[in-house]
Amino acid sequence: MLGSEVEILLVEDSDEDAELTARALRKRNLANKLHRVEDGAEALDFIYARGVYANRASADSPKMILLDLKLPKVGGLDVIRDVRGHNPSKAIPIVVFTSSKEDQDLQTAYDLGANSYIVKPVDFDQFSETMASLGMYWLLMNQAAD
Amino acid sequence: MRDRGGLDAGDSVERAHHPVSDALHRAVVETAVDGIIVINAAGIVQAYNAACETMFGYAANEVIGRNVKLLMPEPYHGEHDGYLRNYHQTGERKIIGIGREVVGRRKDGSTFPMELSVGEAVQGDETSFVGVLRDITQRKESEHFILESEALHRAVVETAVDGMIVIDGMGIVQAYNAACETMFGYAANEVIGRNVKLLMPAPYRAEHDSYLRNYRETGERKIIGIGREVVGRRKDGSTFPMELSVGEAGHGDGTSFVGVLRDISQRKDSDQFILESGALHRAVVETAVDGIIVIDALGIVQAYNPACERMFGYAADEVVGQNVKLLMPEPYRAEDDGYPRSYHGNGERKIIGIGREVVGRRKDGSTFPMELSVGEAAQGDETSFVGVLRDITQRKRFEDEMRQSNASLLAANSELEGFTYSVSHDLRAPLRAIEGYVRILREDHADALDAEGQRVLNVVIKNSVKMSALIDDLLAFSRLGKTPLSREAVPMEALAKHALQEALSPEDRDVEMHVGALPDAFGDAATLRQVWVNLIGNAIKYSRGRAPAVIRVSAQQRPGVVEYSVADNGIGFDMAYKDKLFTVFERLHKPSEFEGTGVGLALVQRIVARHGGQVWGEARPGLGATFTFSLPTKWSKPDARE
Repeated sequence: MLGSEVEILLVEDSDEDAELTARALRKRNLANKLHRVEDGAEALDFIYARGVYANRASADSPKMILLDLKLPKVGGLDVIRDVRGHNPSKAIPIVVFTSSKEDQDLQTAYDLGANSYIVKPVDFDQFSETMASLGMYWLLMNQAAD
Repeated sequence: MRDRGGLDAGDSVERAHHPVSDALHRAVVETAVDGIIVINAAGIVQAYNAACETMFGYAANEVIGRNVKLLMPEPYHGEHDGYLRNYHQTGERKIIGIGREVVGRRKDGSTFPMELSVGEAVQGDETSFVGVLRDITQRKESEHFILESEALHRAVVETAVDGMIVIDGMGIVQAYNAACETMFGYAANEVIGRNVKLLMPAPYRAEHDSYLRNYRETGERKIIGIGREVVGRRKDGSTFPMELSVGEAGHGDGTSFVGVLRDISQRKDSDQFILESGALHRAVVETAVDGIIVIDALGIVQAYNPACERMFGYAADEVVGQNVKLLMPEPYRAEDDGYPRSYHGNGERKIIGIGREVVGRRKDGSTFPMELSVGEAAQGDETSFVGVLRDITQRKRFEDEMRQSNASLLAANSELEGFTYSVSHDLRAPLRAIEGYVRILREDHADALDAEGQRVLNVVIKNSVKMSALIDDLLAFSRLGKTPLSREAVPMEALAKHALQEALSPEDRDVEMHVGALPDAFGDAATLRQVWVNLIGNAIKYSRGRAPAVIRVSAQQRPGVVEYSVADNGIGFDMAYKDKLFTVFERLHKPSEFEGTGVGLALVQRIVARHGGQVWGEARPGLGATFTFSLPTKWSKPDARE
């Protein structure tokens, strides 16, 4: 399951939000390469292939991180800060989830190096728009070709 | 005169002839103060006395036998021969007998003014000329001084700060200086030659002639020499106080009076002030709300006003004469002696002039905070200190209360911020789940639901949509308090038209819209746009069902404000409830009649208030409603939340 095919890391503590996001992506055949973690600490372990993810092939970084900002333990902003501070993870595109585009943390997230944002609930149209703005057509095309 | 006497004597000794008179003459000539020179017709000096020697620096033997021209400076030097020749030929006397001023030349070449009288003496065929000379250098110098001092006087008179007027015995102005021109507004030529009464206001004007007459007749001086205050009258008729000194100047037959005037309006003002201020000061001190205490250099209380009595509980007679430490609580009491001392010792001012908070002690031993300002008053050798005290117990209490309420306000604010944050995050999360799972149900399991199941599902969807709208409005409302407003020209007409388009949904087919000319406003375009959207949205919503619904948007200029109105022909509302219109979550209609969250008008009011304006609604049930908001044309007083 934790093979080299993991392309999207979903960091989301809410099971419902995670399921709804996964469903939105699955509808377009995008969810089969999605891995979900529930908090920031687990996200960092996964990205750096440590702790419970120590066996993961560290060379296989996720192609993109979908990150909720409000997370238990290590918050979303701390995850961005950490990831952006390390090679090679600092190159991974990060899209943050937010409840509202008025969210005060959104600006902070941008300042720390987030690439884009998606207002929840995640619907496919907004998702593909965001992908397009990040120049990640290939991600969509690859998945669509599966 | 001795020589006259000599000549008289000579008459009697006519027969004794020359020797006596010669000796006498010589004595006279030699001792004369004036220089005496005798020349013959050719100008050759025959006699030259001792006074001449002193005057010219030549000894007699250097001069006798030589031409008198020796004693003359250049122009005269050359001309003298001509004079004599002319006199011989024509008998015309150019100098003879006339006392006149000429210039003499000393041996050292210097010249000096002298007065010359020449007499002719005929002895047989011989004519001699006797010249009597007087060195008038000193007299000339003093004349010069007099001449100069007249110029000086004129300059003094003209440049004097004081006005100077000379009148004759009849009161006619003879002289009037520049300062007078400034003082009275009359030019000199308007006054000179006219009666000085011109410069006096009515009562004095009539009396002046009699003053002068009285003075002429009795010599009694009414004004002369006395510096006194009188009233002057300017050309424009206004009057002013002046100080007048009059001097008398006897001048030939006429008597002149010299008046020296000084405009003392300003001094009078300050005199008045000083006179009044004594009484005023006492009144101020006695009625002052602030306590006023005067202490001497040793800290002994000299004065203590009624406000102090109220403040400290001590009567004045209990405090005056005591050390001011009496009014201080322990720590200060011990310190205070040090203050005057250190101030005296090194001039270092510890309290002087500084308004600072100190603690006072009442008669009953209780203490209170007061503000103290100390001033220094030097009177002769004595230095006093004036303390002005204000009991700030209440102010301190208010300050404390203010601080507390500020703190609780801040707490409430941050609580509200926290609430807003959790609304946007936590409240939305379950709602999002409800909406998401309902969607799953509808998309993936529609077949499993019968008609009733579908209806129930739709109710769930409708309510979650409504809750979502409520949350959005609530967030917008709370956000408004924090976001700073921009201040720019806002094209209200364009905004209103745009808002109309936005508010119309496809089912609103039968709507008639009239947008009048709307002046630009000055404020924040984004929030003002929200005002239009909400008011126009309401107008459309509450006139739904009218055929046609008529919406009118207009504006009216009033002094200082522009009033913008949105009127509809909808269901209106009962004016009894108009106060509830703008309260959050208050609704005047049932949700079954009209959808809504009850936030729209509250938002409008908040936006308008932050722009310094007002909003109100007028309506009659069934006939429509008009909502009007006013915006100041100059946004001078933005809402305090700014």
